[in-house]
Amino acid sequence: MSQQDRCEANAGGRLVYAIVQEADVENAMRGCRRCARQLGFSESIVFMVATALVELARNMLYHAAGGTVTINECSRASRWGIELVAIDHGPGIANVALAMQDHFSTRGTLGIGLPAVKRMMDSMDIETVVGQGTTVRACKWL
Amino acid sequence: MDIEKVEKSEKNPITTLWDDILFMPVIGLLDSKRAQDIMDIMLEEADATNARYIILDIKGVAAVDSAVANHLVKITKATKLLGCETILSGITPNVAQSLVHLGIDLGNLITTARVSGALEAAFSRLGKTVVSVDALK
Ligand SMILES: Nc1ncnc2c1ncn2[C@@H]1O[C@H](COP(=O)(O)OP(=O)(O)O)[C@@H](O)[C@H]1O
Ligand SMILES: [Mg+2]
Repeated sequence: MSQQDRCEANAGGRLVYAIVQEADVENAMRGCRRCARQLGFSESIVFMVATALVELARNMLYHAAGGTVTINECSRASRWGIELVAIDHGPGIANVALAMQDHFSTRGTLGIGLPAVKRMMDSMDIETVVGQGTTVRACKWL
Repeated sequence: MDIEKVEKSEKNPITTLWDDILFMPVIGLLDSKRAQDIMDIMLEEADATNARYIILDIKGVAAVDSAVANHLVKITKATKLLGCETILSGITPNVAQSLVHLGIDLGNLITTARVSGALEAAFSRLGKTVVSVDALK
């Protein structure tokens, strides 16, 4: 995903959640729903963005021993949106193209999380360094 | 009394809605522990009551990610082994869209938008129907 596709973080409306256990995922998901609703997304988009956040947060729990998700309001040109940023310092993803394929999993789970996030959000971008960690950014525009 | 078991069923109430028909609403977010609890409770109750259908209402579920979807599919498969078919209600357009993006195929599972639709589906399979009193006059 190009640099352009990213959204600039807005100073206001930023929520940060440390994800170290399942309960944190639910909290972050609630914050995400609130933020998306306040921005004026329809209920079906709110649900989808919340689902994407859960997918990213659980990936950090299962594949990276936890991390942080940040929920930002963002704007580009005159458009508003919501940005999810999941940052961890886990093992990183060795082959991103493979990880983005449906049904690819290194843990024997469904392997549809990352590709589904891509389909649910308007843009998604993964930065990862093996041995250092992974940052996934995903945006949805109003 | 097994306190843990009591607390488990307090958190995940299941009721007999009609002869042979159980009802279980799920709200919030499922994780694997809670999904396991729900599965245990459903299987126990299905076994104890010999119910033929369980309506699992997921209208109050706040997000359906791949893990939740996987749990739901597993739960329905397990009850089926006991001869009790799960009817998934609360498949709102939101849930449906997420399932499509996930690429999850609910196969030949009976799904309905509303609980009333699920009840109707169970009734019709049990050879029952709801008739308005006026129609009988
Ligand atoms: N935060 C992460 N850190 C390290 N690896 C990850 C992370 N997220 C995803 N992956 C890798 O990408 C693969 C695909 O992820 P996903 O599509 O969510 O499927 P699943 O979680 O079921 O394995 C994972 O199996 C894992 O190898
Ligand atoms: Mg995943």
